[in-house]
Order: sequence, then structure tokens, then C-alpha cells
Amino acid sequence: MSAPSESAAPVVRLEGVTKRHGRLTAVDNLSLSLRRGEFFALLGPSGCGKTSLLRLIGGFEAPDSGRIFIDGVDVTETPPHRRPVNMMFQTYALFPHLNVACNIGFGLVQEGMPKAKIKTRVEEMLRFVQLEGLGERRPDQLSGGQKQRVALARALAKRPKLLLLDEPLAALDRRLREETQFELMRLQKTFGVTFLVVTHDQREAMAMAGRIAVMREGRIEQIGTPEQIYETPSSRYVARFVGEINLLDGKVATTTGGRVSVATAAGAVEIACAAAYAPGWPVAVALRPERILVCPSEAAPDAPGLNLLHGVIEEKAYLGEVTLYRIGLSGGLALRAARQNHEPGASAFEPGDKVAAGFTPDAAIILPS
Amino acid sequence: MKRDWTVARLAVLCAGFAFLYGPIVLVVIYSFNGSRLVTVWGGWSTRWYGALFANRQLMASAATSLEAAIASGAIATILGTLAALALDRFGRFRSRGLFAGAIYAPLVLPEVVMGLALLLFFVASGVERGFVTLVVAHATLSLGFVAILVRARLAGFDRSLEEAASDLGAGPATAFMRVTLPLIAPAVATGFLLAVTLSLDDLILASFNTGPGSTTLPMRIYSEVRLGVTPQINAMSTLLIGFVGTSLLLAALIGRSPRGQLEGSAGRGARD
Amino acid sequence: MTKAARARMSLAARLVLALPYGWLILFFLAPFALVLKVSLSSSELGQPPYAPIFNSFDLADIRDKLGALSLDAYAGLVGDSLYLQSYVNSVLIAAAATMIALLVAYPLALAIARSEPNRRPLLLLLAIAPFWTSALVRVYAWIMILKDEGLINHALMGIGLIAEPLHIFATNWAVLIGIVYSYLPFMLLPLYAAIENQDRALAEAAADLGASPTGVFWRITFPLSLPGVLAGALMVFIPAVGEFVIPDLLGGSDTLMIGATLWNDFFANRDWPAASAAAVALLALLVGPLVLYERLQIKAGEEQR
Repeated sequence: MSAPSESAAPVVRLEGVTKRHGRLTAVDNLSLSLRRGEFFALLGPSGCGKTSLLRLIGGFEAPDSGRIFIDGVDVTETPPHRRPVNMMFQTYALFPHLNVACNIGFGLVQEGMPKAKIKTRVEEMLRFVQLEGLGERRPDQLSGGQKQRVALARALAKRPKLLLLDEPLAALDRRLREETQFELMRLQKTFGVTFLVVTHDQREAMAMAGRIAVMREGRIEQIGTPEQIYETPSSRYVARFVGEINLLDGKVATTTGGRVSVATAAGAVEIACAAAYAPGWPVAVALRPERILVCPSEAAPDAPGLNLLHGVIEEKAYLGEVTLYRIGLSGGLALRAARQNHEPGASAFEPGDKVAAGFTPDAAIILPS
Repeated sequence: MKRDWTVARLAVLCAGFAFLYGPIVLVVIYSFNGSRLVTVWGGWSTRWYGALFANRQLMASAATSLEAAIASGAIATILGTLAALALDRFGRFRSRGLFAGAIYAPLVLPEVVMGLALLLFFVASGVERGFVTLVVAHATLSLGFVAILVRARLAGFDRSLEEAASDLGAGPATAFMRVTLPLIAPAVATGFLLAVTLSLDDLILASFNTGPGSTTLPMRIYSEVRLGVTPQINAMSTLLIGFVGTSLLLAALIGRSPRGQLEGSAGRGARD
Repeated sequence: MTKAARARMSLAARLVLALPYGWLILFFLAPFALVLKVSLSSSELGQPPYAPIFNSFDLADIRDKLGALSLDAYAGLVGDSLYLQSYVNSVLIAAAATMIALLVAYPLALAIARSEPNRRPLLLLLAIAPFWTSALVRVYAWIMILKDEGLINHALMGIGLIAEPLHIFATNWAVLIGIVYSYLPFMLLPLYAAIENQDRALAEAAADLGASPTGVFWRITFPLSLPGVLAGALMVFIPAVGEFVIPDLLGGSDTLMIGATLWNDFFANRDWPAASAAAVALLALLVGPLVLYERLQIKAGEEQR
């Protein structure tokens, strides 16, 4: 039943996996494949089932139905200590009674590796995570960042086929978090191990992962590169969860040659769209705040094809690199626009100013309502 | 005002500890009394200790007590630890209430009742009363105390540590031996010491459940005390107090795991 | 292979449960069933000194024996004013001792809980350490102190405060002192835990809202410590009711407590059914407090999770 592993074969394959906790369905008939050596992120709010999915792959929980394959081998019934997978726990789970070196070597001792070899491997791991000379320390003598590195070194010491990371950065403060992101990416490249990260932080996922799966209520809503997820979200849920976005509800007026005209309460807009929609179909226009051009109402540029929605600045927030505006449109709609402050006049508008919000047809996308 | 509180607190502490330790200290002091009359001070002397060690009966009982204490302590420690694990790990199982009740009840149940119950059981099942029944009775009594101590330790135990061990290749038994047991060891050791102390101390269960050949030290002391206060009992009591004091010190040292010490030194380092 | 591993694991898990459970069924639950049985049989001269019932599981035999069930022992309990008196006395003395223990332990628990955080463990250890020394020795110490020719009287008469020795020994007062002294740690521990666990911010908030230190105590600290008070009271009351050594050694001939009565019935009078009936009656008396105590224990166990 174990197929010879080729590099093209997925490292992990889930087939229709379902996991229920009492009445709650944590993972709902989910299928997923991870490619060898990729950095994959499971992104979603708390309670979406991402941690359950991680624990299913690690073997800490058994699925109610479905199969789990690692390297082509069905491991659905395999207990965690027989899976070629290691996990970095959210709380790190460092053994308090063992020093750093013993923690890192724990899995190697279990493998029956000779002592001398363990010592070399542990030294090597300590070097990789830049903790040389701290092998004799106990976990409670380490800072948060150091603990995180020990946990990482311990999980990588056995050279697993897949490393599971449960909210690896959640316990760190913000500055350390950014540093560690790059550290994780570097280690992932060095070892060539597949990383599966669970996180609720979209910035974290986008910064590190090659591919992201956005989860919702036990299902995967969308899988794609960070760019795909951000630029072309497949649903309102993904669009809202990943970054800021404006959603203007409306109805399709006409579809002509790759352009869809949508009638919203604030006026008609034209959106570039390959799909054809029947007139009258309810849709939402999704528009990122940074794609909106703000200009004085009377001096609006008259470029062909540019969508212009007129309104009044309601609120303004100067955030350093950008200025955020809330623009009240007719029909009770509102837009959030973000202007880069290095552009001249980006923060020039004040509440009450009459402005026009402009965006090109390819700046927005159409989502099913 | 803050000072008033500090003074009041110190006064309460002093009075409380005087009440707790006064009687014990008096027993110790008077064990070195040279006089035959317990309440008349006749100068320092260790003559009663000499008399004590010459008392073969007493020494034999002490040996019996010690053996029974260690045997019952070992059984109670193993069973109590298992019981604590069962209560902590298995969540709700059928008859959990009965199980928990049977574990915790001996902690407060009047010993006369327990002693009588066990005796009737041994008589009904035709078991000759003696050393074995004594050990069984004491193990049953101490089991709950061990279970409570170990359970408290398990409650503060991060379950992901066991998961991490199993993630790194340790099977359930290995994970228990390499991670769980070392971490609950202080509670297990304290539980053993407590079980030994309870057994050494017990008069009632022993009186009901032992046989003529296995008279325990408390039984011997009890029959002497009934006859009146003698300096020799003072000396015996002092030895018992010394024994318990030593094992308590031992327990305290075990409790102060290297982890605690390191935390302390790390804290000092940070403050410097 | 993996299925087998799982089966093996659950076997080990089952063993973890079965060993202590089996032990307790055999040596704890079964004996109590037996006490009930013996209490229903009639007294006999011989070894064992009671007429056996239900020794076989033959139905006809059981029917016969059912007819022979005897409530003699219980009738004896009710008819004998000595028993009734010792029951009432046990409850009264245990209740009084519980109250006194609470009054003594509360200030001490409060004082320890309000000490410097790094001194608390040591103070607590010191406070419960006497509990580890032999109960017999601790009771014996009080004999030495309280006797008519004991240390207190010796000292008081020595400084001329009293001419005649105070008669404390061999009275209910001595028994009270003995129980309070012996069971103080049982009261102290839950009280300390209940006080120490309290969020200090609650007391500070109350003070901020204008409560005086006494007000803070009566309106915040004490009400929040009530579960500890209840636990401590039960842990003193339950064993105190059945106490034997303390009334036997410190009490007088008129100090009747049920534990001592049971002991005498068993060892001196060799009336096993009567002793068993007394044990059952004692358990019946304690069933309420015991159930309450178990609930507290189990609840505390659950909360710790």
C-alpha cells in the first residue's frame, strides 16, 4: 500500500477528512495536498478547525472519517510516535526537567541514535538556531525567543518529512515576531522540509508562506499564493479576512467584452471581468482601499474608463505611512480609501471636503453576493 | 496603619506557632529530664534513651512498624499514583463517582469504622490477621492521600509535554517514564513519605487488623500511655518526632526540585 | 500492527484503572458491605462472635436466613441510653471543636496568606508539619501539660496564681483542646488555599470604593473564603465525630464518644454485631457531611483541570 515516494508526489494528502468534537464539526470532509518542500499556511480565525487539522496530521487526534497519507503511506491509524512528522507546539512544550541539549536530543535518543552522533546533531541544531553554548541551560532560564528556537530545533532534529507549527509566533512580541518570520523561512530553505504553519494572522501567513489555505468552519475556502488570495479572493469571506476591502453591493447591468457594468446605490461602475453575468444578477464589487484614488470633486480627472464615485470625507486618520479616509457616498454607502503619504497631497483632505473616489476597471473584482 | 497590620500578623503567627509547637517542644525537653517524675525537673540526662533501647519489646514493635510502613507505603504509592492518573486522564467513566468516593473517603472516615470494616472482611474471608493484613489496611488508608498529592501535581501538568514526547517518537509507556514520571516525581515521593508516616502513626487500624506477633509501636505506646506518663515515653516520642522531622526535611528538599532552585538563582541574576 | 498497538495501550490504560479500583473494591467497599451484614446478625459466643448470614448464594438458604435477620443490635442501640448519649455527645463535641478550630485557624491562615509571597510556602509547611508527627505523641503531650500534677498546674501554682490545681484533664475541655490541636492543619489548609487564591485586586477595589479594612474583610475576604471554611469544617467535623484516641486518653469516665463506645464494644465486650451497628449508625450520621465533602473534593478536582 505504500507507493515509492517520488519528489513530485505530495508529502501529505488528506482525503475527505472529518473530525467532530461533540456536536461541533471541527474539520468537515476536507481534502488537501502539500507539495514537497513548500511553506504552507493554514489561515483562519480561531475555531475554524485549523489547529484540529494540524493535530490530525500530527496524529494527536483520529479522524471520524477520511484518510491521511504521509509520503504515500496511509497513517490514519498510526500513533504520533510512529509518524515521520514533528510538531512545534504553540506553548513550545519544552520538557522542564531536561536541559536544552536533552530537549533537542529527545527524539534522537528515542530513535536509538548513538550518543556521539546525537551530540554532534544537537550541536549542529544549536548552531542552526543560533543558540551555541546554551545546551546546558534549563528551559526556564531562556527568554521567550530562545524557547521558541529550542522548540524549533527539537522538532527539526529528527529531520522530519513535515514540520507542523502551531501558531509559532503567537507567544512572541511584535518586533521578535518579524525577525523570527525570516528565521523560519531561512531554516525551511536550509532543511528543505515541508512546513505547515497554523496561524490566525494574515500578515504572518502572507509574509512566510508560498501557499495559503484560508479555512472557514472546517472547510477550505480558498487555496493559493499570497498574491492570489489577496488580489483575487474567491469569496466575500476570504476578501474580508485577508486585508481591508470595500464591498459595494449591486446588480449587474450589462456584460460587454470583458467588462461588467454594475449598478450600485452610489452609481454605476465598470469592472474588468472575464466571466459573463446575466443582467440583474446580484453581486458585490470588491475594492482594496489602496487602489482608490482620492481627488477634489471639482478637479476629478476625466480619463476614459475610470470609475468615479462622488462623496464627502467623513473621517480621516493619519497613520504615518498612509492616511485613511472614510468617504460617504450617496445611497448610504461608504468607502475606505488609503493614500500613501509620500504622494503629494495624500493627507490634504479634511472631513467635510467634497471628493471623488476613482478606480480603474481592473482595480476591483466582482464577487458573488 | 500598615504597620499595625504587620504587628498583628506577626502576633498571630507567633501565637499560632507557639500553640502548634509548644506541646511538642515540651515533650522533647522533658525527655532529657533526669528525674523520674515527669513534671519535676531533675537536670539534663539521657538515661531514658538508654532504658528505651534496652526495651526489647519496644524495639521489636518499632521494627514491625517500620517494615509495615515501608511495605504499605510502597503499595499505597503505586496504587495512589495509578488512581490519580485514572482520575486525571480518563475523564468521565461509568462509576467514576464511586471510584473517586472510595479514594477520598478514607481521608476523613473515622478510623474505628474503617478498622472494624476491614477486620470483619478478613475474618469473613478466613485470613489470619498479622503483618500482611496490617500492610493491606495501611495501604488502603494511605492510597487516597497519595492520590490527592499526585492529582494536584497532574492538574498543573501541561498535556502538550506528553504530546511532544510522543511526537518525537516516544510510545505511551516511554513518554510516561521519560516525561510524565520525572515531572510528577516530587509529588510521588512526598506521597510515599506521607504514607509511611501515616502507617507509623496509626493506632486504630493496626489494633483491629494486626495479629499477636505483629504489635506495632503506636499500640505499645498506647498501652503504656494508658498507664500514665513516664519519661521513657517522652524519649520514645522525641525519637518519633526526630524521625518525622528528618523525613519532612527530606520531603522539603525533594520538593525543592533543581528547577525551583534554578528559578531562584535566575531571579537573583536578573535582579543583579 | 497499529490496531494492535492501540489495543495494547488501552489494555495498559485499563490496568491503570483496574489496579486501584480492584484494590478499593476488595478492601474498602466490600468490608463496608460486610459491616452492614454483621450489624444485622445476632451476637454469639464464639469465633467469630456473630451468627453468619448469607455465606452461600443458595436462594433457599438466603430465604431462610432472611427470616433470621436480626435487628437486635439496632434495637440495642436505640434502647441503650449510653449509645444515644454518646452519639449526641460526639456530635456536640465535634461541632464545638470545629468551631474553635475555625476561630483558631482563620487568623493564622490569614496571617500566612498575607505574608511575603516567598515566605508563604515555608510558613505553611511549618504550620502543617506537626500533623506529620505521631497523633499519639501529640495527644500524649497534652496529658503531660493538662494533668492535675501537669505542667500548667505546676507552673500556675509555682507562681502562686492558683492554690488548687485546675481540673482540665479528664474533662470534655481536655477532649476539645486535643481535637482542636490534632485537627488544626485540616482546617488551616483549605482556609489558606481559599484566602490565598483570592485576587488581591478585589480587596483593593473594595478599599478604593471606601471599605475600611474590617469592611474589606467582612464583605470581600470572608465571603469569598466560605468554600474553604466549609471544606475545613467538614475535614475536622467528620473524623472528630468518630475520634477514639483523644476522648480515650484525655477524656474522663463521663466523656462518652461513639468511637470509644464502639471500640469498647468490640474489644472489651466482644459484641461484634453491636459494634457493627454502631459503625453503621455512625456512618448514617456522617452520610450527609461525607457526601458534601466528596462533592467538594470532586468539584475541586474538576476545577483544577
